[in-house]
Amino acid sequence: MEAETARGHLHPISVALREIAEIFGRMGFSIVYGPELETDWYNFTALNIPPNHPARSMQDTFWIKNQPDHVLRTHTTSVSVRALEQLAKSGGTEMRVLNPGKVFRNEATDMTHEAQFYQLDGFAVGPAGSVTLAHLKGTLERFYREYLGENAKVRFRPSFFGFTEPSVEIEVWFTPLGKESRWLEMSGAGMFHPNVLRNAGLDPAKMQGFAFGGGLERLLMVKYGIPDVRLFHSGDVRFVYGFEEEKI
Amino acid sequence: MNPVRSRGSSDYDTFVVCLKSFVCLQEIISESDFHAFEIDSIVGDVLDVKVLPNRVADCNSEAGLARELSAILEIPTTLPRPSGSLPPVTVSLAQINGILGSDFSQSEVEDVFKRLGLDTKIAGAAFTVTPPASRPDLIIAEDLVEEVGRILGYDRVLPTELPPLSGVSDQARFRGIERMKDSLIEQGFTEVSTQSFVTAGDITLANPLDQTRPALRTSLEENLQEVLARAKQYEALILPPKQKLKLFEVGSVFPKEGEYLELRMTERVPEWGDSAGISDNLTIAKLEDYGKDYAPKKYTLGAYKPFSLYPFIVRDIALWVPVGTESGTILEVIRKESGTLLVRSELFDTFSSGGGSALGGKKKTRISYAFRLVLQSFETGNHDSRAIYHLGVSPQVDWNEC
Repeated sequence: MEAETARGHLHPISVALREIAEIFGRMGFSIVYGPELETDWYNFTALNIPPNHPARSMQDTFWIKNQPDHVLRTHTTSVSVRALEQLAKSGGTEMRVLNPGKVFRNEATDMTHEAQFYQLDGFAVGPAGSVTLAHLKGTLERFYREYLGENAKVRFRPSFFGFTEPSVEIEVWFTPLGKESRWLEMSGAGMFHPNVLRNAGLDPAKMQGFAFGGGLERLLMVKYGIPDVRLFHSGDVRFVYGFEEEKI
Repeated sequence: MNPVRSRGSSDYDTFVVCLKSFVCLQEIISESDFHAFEIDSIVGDVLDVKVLPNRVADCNSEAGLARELSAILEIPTTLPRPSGSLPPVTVSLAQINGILGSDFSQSEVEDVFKRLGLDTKIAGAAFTVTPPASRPDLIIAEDLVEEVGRILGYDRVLPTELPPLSGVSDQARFRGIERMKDSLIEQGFTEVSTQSFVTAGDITLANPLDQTRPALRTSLEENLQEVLARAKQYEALILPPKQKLKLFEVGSVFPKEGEYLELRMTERVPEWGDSAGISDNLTIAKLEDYGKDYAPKKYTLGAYKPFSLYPFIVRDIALWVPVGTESGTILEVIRKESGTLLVRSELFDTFSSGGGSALGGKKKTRISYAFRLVLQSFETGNHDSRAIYHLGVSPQVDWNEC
């Protein structure tokens, strides 16, 4: 019997991103990328988190030796600022972007914490009054309904982030595999702080928009019942082969 | 109290407030949670409240928190109004509803500022708030918008879909990368994801988490080789017999010349031509053209099945059966009789005989099937004898271990 070349397996992060990109694509979202080794400006200061801002203490940052103005990005919101700059340069008035990618946090690892993980971050901006917090809720509710199931719904809890005002935590009503339905904290979000738009070269009196960002692994963990976040980037092939895979 | 906390398990400063419990504690917890003051624990009538960084100025005292809770819960307070005044901030009703996408009324907004004890002047639909010295977080109109949303409740902000975008969404680069991956998957490669930190590299962290891996990878090679070596130990668990283990990774690397996105495979792809190596710089590759009209393959994944940490045993077994017996029938029996220890079972060879070769013209009377069986327990390490005994209860056939 001849050995046939069986298909290899795609990493679950890639499987997820394809589905997520398609859902957001239907709502007009593009996908952009940016560097993981980022400047302090794009990671913090441009996002209205200047030196000594209390929000800096909320993120445990990896700093680079002999390059005090560089960090490993703590979120892909840094890519949002870069995209907004492009919008300002092109003179456009609306933009919808998803920027998935790896981010880094200097924190002890355990079953639910990893020092490197993927973030699903995105934003929509438009002329003032055209993109509201209600649109954020509508966009995310549609996403979670299509991705997690029809009964998914979204609620907001007030929060604080330097780059958004107002700021909210996104909670999603979902039934994890084999468990009771419950509210799960999924990401941070809000309306872009005027300073962020200004720092990107846009006029906050004319433009506004929402932004959101959260860990991708966490979403997959509840969707597929993955017990330990450290499995994702361990390089262990048994993890990649741990799912029944069906090509659509 | 230092308002900036550099490290710690909680994101925010945690403060304790004593409240005379004339309202139900459960109500306090739930209401506080949805008004930006998460309650960590309650011991007796002492609440442990998380204070967000923007509110440390006024809520770092019991009086400040009590004042905030009185506004949230609409409980009258005898506490004096906070003193001092900061520059006034103006917001209009239209601005509030224009940012929140809400339908709040003039009187509701008026009531919010009253509940919060903020000195407010109203001129038409414009509210001018003069914050006390203890509220330096109220600087711009958006800060007041947040106060309104927070107090009236974001459950009143109804989900609304974005209108169609006038332009088109651009996912060409993403699709280009995914097309590369699809092509590799078809060639039998499996995608892995590894850590960005390595033992040595051109760029080093000032504050590494793992002191043995303080550098950023300059290439995916070191990790990929390590992963391949490890994966070879599990090869029989994941791949059918005769299929070669081939891996790839797409990830950022950080040589001194600058960061780029690398694609690296554990071996060449002959189909990609003689000039194709085992790695590629995707940052400079023209992926937009390659991806713009491509729809990445979609997969649905089932629930994750954890793998056993115990060792496994591979047994290749061949047996003779009369011609006409289907291999699938035998596999079914093997699977049924082997129980939960059998994690993989596949036919990997067939041989006919009985007066002629498999390809010969003479009539064949019997056929040999070779199966690969992989046995592993979730509860204990497999012992060879136990595995064999386990197979021994299988059907009445001649066992010929290969």
